[in-house]
Amino acid sequence: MNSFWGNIFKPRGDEHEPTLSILRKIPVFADLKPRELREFERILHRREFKKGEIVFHEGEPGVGMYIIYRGCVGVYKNRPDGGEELLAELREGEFFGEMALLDESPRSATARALEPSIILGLFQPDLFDLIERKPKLGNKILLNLAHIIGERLRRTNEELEQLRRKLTESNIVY
Amino acid sequence: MSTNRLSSSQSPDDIALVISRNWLRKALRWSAAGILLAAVAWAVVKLQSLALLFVLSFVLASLLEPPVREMESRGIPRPTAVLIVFVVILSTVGVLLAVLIPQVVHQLQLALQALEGRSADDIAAQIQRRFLSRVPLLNSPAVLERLRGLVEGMMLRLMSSALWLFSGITYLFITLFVTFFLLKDGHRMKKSLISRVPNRHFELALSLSYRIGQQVSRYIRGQMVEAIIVGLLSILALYLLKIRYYAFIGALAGLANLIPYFGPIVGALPAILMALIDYGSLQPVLGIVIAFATIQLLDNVLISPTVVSKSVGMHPVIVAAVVLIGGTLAGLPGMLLAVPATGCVKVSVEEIRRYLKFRSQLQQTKAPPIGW
Repeated sequence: MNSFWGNIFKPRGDEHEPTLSILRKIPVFADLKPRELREFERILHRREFKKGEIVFHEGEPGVGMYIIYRGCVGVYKNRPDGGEELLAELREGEFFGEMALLDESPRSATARALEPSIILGLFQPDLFDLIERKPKLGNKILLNLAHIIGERLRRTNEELEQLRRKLTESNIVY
Repeated sequence: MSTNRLSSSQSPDDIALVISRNWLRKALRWSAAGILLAAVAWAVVKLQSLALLFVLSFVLASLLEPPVREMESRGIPRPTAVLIVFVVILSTVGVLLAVLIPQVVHQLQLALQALEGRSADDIAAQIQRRFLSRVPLLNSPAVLERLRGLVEGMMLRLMSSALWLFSGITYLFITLFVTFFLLKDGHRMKKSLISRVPNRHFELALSLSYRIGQQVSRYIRGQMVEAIIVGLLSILALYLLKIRYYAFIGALAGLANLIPYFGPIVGALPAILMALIDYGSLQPVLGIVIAFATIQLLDNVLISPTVVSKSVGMHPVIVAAVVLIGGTLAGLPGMLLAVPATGCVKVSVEEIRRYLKFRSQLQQTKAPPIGW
């Protein structure tokens, strides 16, 4: 049965559509038990974006990550000449902005909806709140996030190493 | 066609049109905000008891949130945790009230009986006989007349407070009902409310609401703990000084302590008056003044800095002004709530300013090279 406030503040739209199958596809949440996943789903914010609407701007402080539930999002990097460079096109089940979950560093790219999209937002205040209320679940998510960021750092180091090697081979490094 | 953005290719006429449009939009926005603020202030004043009920429920929910969270972190579902906390708190309060309420009611009854059949003239004359007649300067008909008015006012207030004590039980149950749902479904309610914020401002609104919520809860909890400690110390001091109705007057002093500067004086007055009526000498009055001054010293040096958030420090002139404004708008509840309410607004404004400053600093620095 819906609770008292649930009836008063009934959300708009088809909120009860299953989001769990989307969440299971994402590495950060893949090993969560169904009950944990349902608990986690409660702290997500479902946002609807029109085509061309900005999800976040480069340089702005970010407080969370986004998971694409439906639609498509383009990630752009500002060029020195004032234009934009498309870095990636992300689709259903893909996520972006996860660095902002751990610190409030500025967004390093702009994200824009390329078509009408439904995006699930996971934000730092809600994650901190979850860690306080459900430490086991919160720690599991944090550990998975650390794995993903660690993996990304390892890959970046490898790329850096390759670049350095190439530069050494072409005698540019001094 | 002219847009609302300025560019170098626009003619001076177009630029003037854009500036006037932007100015008009800003003026409309500020007017709408002003009207909304005035409407909220009007509604709060008009629906005082309803507003007070929600504020009380919010305060109670803030106080009970930590134990609920603690239980939730130990794997107990939130509704069960809220229920357990309610049962424990109600039982404890029930036991305390079972001990304290008969005492307070008994003392109140005694006070009312003592007043029964006695007019304000009698009491004023008694005070004059016992105390004022000993001070030549105060032994005049004009002082007696002022004293009579003062006693009459206090008697009326005592009668109405006794009536309020009984009618307040219904109010208390409604407050507890609202508190229960605020605790159980507060998160969902907040999420539903925040979902109405447009995408452009969503992250900012969410982050600010979290920070403001944390600061305000910390402040409310601090204030309540401070009031309880001061109340208990006052009860102990008055009991040791053998002042009649010590429990009632001490509890009142604790509650009055929520009103800065005026509160301690308001809290000490009934005790001083009682000592004057009973003993008719300055010695117990001096004892009360010393006891209350010591409690205030302890409060300012030890209790307040430890339990109340330091971030809500306000200039004494502003505190005095808001207390007076609160009193004018909504009487005693207005005086009680003026400082916490102003504290909440101050915390909110500070958080918004801090965030905007942080945001502008970030925009000036270069973005990190990896990850988005």
